[in-house]
Amino acid sequence: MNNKKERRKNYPMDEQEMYNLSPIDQFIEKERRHDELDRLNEVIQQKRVWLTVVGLSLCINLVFVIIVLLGE
Amino acid sequence: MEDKKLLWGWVLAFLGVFVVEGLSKVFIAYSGQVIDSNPIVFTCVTFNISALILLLIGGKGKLSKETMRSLQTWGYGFVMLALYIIAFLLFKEAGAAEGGFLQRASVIFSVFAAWLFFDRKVSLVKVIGLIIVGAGVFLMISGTPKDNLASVLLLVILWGFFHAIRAFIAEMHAPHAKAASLQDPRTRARVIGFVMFVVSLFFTIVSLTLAFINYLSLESMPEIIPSFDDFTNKQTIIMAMLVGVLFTAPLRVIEFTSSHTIKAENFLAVSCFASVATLFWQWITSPITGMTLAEFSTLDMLSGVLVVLGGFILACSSIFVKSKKNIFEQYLKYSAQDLESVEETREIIANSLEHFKSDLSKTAKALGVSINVLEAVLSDKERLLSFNDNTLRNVARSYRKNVAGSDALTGLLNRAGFMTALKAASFESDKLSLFFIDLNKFKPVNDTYGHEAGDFVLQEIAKRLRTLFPKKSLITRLGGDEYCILLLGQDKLYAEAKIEIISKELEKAISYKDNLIQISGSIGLASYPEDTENAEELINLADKKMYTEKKER
Repeated sequence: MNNKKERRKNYPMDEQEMYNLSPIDQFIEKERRHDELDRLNEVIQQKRVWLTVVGLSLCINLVFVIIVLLGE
Repeated sequence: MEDKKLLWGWVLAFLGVFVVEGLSKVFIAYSGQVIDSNPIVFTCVTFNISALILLLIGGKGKLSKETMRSLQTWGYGFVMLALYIIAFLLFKEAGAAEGGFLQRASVIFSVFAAWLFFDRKVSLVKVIGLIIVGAGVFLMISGTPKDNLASVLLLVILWGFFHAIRAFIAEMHAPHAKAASLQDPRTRARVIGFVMFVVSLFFTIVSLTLAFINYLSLESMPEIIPSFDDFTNKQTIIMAMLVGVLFTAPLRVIEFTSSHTIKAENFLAVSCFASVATLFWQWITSPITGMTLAEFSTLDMLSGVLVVLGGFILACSSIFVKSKKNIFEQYLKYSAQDLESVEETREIIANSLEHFKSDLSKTAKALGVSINVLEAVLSDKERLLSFNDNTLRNVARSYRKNVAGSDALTGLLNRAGFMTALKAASFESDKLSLFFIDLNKFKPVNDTYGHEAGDFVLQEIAKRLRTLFPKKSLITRLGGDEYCILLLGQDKLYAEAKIEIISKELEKAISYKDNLIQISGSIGLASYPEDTENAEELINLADKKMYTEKKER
């Protein structure tokens, strides 16, 4: 595969757009953007941490609300 | 730009302390006195909702992983918890209003730490401010009954120590500093959201553990220890969520932003106004809240005035010193412990001077600093001075662009700089055209008029080429009398039309010391994608075409 040639045809993707991709793995497979694999993997990791922490935080806050509702 | 950021940092600190912190204390006092909320449960819910809000505002993005893995983040969480416990004990021992003023002892710790560990200067005005704050705190402590004098003193010291640590973590928090350099408010909110999540995690674990202990305990526990019933208090949860969204989240953003911009000790100096701000807002809102204002003895009032006055002098001294800060402090630092920075600074300056043939003015311009700064480093025999971190970053960037990648004689790109730029252009542009130019009759110029004349001709040619292609082009002197022009986003047809224009420009006589020097140039053109599929081959192709054209002459 001519990597250089491929890169010239496909401009590097904006990072913000990467965060909105779903699922990212399919994108890599479909677009054959192997040259952006490192960036995409980094985005996957960052996204996973954010989702986990937001999920946890949301759960804790919901628990507080549910306890109040149940306690009434 | 730097001054604007600093001013914004000060404005934020004052706004945060006077409005956000002052008002939040009113709400907290209201929830304690009127709603009868448990303070631990209240704070726990407040931190949890503020973390969630900040994380949602920040959205998915960079620095998530780094913030959660940062020891500073977890250290901040631990210090917050420790401070909460110390504050509770301090207020219990000394009283709420007195405790508020005693907490200002942290500014003394922070200024001392800034001087001791970060080599920040302490001006005479600052010392006066510190003495006044110290006198206020001492006066307040002296009014404490002898029975709990020792414990109050210990708690003030502990509070000062931990509060200063918290402010310095906020100032130096690496992911936040990175977010600040990105100048993206959402990234900043995200990073602080993660920090607050860690804080809320600590508080949630402690609150639930205490409630569980309370539940299991057969004896009645102190009122401060939460019970599970406290978690079911609807008013507490609603009020805490309101305070978390409206005050805690913005306050933490302000704390991080201001501490990072104006430095931790200055943020704590502004915090000296917090008690006055709280009193002011309590007085303003008392008709609505129905809360009675705390009564102060003459001693309390005097020490309160001293703390505020001292804080005011400290803040003013920093603003004043910042505005008068001389040029050396803006760019340089004493790095007795950091030999690497000193070596790097000296190497950059030495290489740049070598590049510009010891011309200080050109070197200073290329590196983006003043001549005075270069002279200060060059005359530093002890080898202690280096660029400060911010300057080093900017200077290194300028060095790469204007020295390492630039031709000293003409100011055009040199071969290395051009090759890097060509590589980058090959990724960004789908159409490229490259002219390879070799001057004809240049050697006789050197032989007849001398090397000075030769240099003048090379500079004049560079000037003409820059005038011909001021935009969307990269121009280089590859060495000797060879030049290259790379047109970005232009196809072969457009470039071919330019060959004639370049030739005519080169053939125009050059006036040198009453002599008219006549030269010309051989030009080879190669375009991507018409001539090659590999943009980096453009130079070789254009060189070959130039050579063919030269032989045909």
